[in-house]
Amino acid sequence: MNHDRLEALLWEWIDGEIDEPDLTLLKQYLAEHPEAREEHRRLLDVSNLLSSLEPVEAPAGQRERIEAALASRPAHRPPAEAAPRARAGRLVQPWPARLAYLAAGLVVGVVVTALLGIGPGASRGVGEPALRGVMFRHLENGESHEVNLVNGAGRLVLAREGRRLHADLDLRRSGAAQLAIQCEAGKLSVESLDQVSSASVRLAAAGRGVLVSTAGPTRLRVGVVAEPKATDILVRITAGGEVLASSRVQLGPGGEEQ
Amino acid sequence: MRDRDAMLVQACLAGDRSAFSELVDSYEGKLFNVAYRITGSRDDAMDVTQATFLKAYEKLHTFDLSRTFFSWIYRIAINEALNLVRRTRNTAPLDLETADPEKSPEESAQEGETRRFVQASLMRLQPDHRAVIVLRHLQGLSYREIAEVLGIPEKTVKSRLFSARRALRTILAEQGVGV
Repeated sequence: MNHDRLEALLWEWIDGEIDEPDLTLLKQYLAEHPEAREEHRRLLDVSNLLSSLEPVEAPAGQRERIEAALASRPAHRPPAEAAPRARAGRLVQPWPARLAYLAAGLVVGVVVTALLGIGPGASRGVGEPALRGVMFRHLENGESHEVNLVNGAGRLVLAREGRRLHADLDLRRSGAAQLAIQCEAGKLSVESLDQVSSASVRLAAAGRGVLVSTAGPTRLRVGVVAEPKATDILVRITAGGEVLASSRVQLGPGGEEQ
Repeated sequence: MRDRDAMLVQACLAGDRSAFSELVDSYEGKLFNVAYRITGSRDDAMDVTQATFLKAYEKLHTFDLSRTFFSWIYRIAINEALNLVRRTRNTAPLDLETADPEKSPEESAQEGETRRFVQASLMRLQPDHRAVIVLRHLQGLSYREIAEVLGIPEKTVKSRLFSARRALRTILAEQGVGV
């Protein structure tokens, strides 16, 4: 074994990246060659010297500096707004990217499905009046309905305009909560998200579902639009494993306004 | 982490700024450290970290969700740091690191001296070599992860690491360290 080969194998061993046949060969070589063992010790010294460089704390104020710089940039446009540009052909994603979005959409879908409790294993159908805060009704076009969340946690107003649904959530309960909106068939897209109060809010939207997570009391309005083949829109608000409101809004099939 | 990052990217692209703040939370410290070890300056590292997040935010729509966000943003940070070093030909020794309050002054002085010596040696490496050493030894990335970050084959990672370490040994030997 020449010196370059020995040094390369020793580094692979130190890095934990050596394969089994090479390790067997190396150990045999080390057993027979004291100068190779000495080289191993020297390389370990180099590795230990480099390990002496410990992580350093990021300077105080860096985070604020980054956030301030980001604040000067416009927010990304939600998919519903970006769609016309995509149709114009400028933002059309290549197929691998589309498949990746689809995969991420499935993840969101699973999460939303779990929150809505409509998966195959769900024991209670949405609309069963077993929970407080449950609303199950047909909303006429232009109609709105208000539901009070359980335990005085706030209120939710749902308003329908054709295939659009506007959810106005006034959440007064502290702690994290999630608002999940999903259509039972077809796809759903977000048209607007307006946050009136200052709690941290995160939105994930893909395919059939929209999930809005909030870190605390908040007032927000979400506007979604369902594809023509969507028949129902399901809405559920949960916090700490508790369902604060659960609602199913029936839309007419095939894009008809009922 | 991979799924979480992908969700946050999706949320940000849907117009949710707070999702990107969570990504900043996750990577700010790591990227600062990478930049600090490559540039050798806290001020430059801050600039690199900020530029990295701004570029990532602006180019987020180009991020391929089949890849890991970590390798994508690390690559931006490495490129920003290397560009800055090349522009300024920065080979200055590191800013002073703070002493560990739990160590005696003698221990701290000795360890601080060792760290300064090692970093000064690192700064004498060519930037590409410095980057690969930082990713392997300071960030603990595997050969495969380094390949993903740098956009080069694993075989090239091995050979670049080999050359970088040999160059480092030569520098250390010039300073009287027999390694």
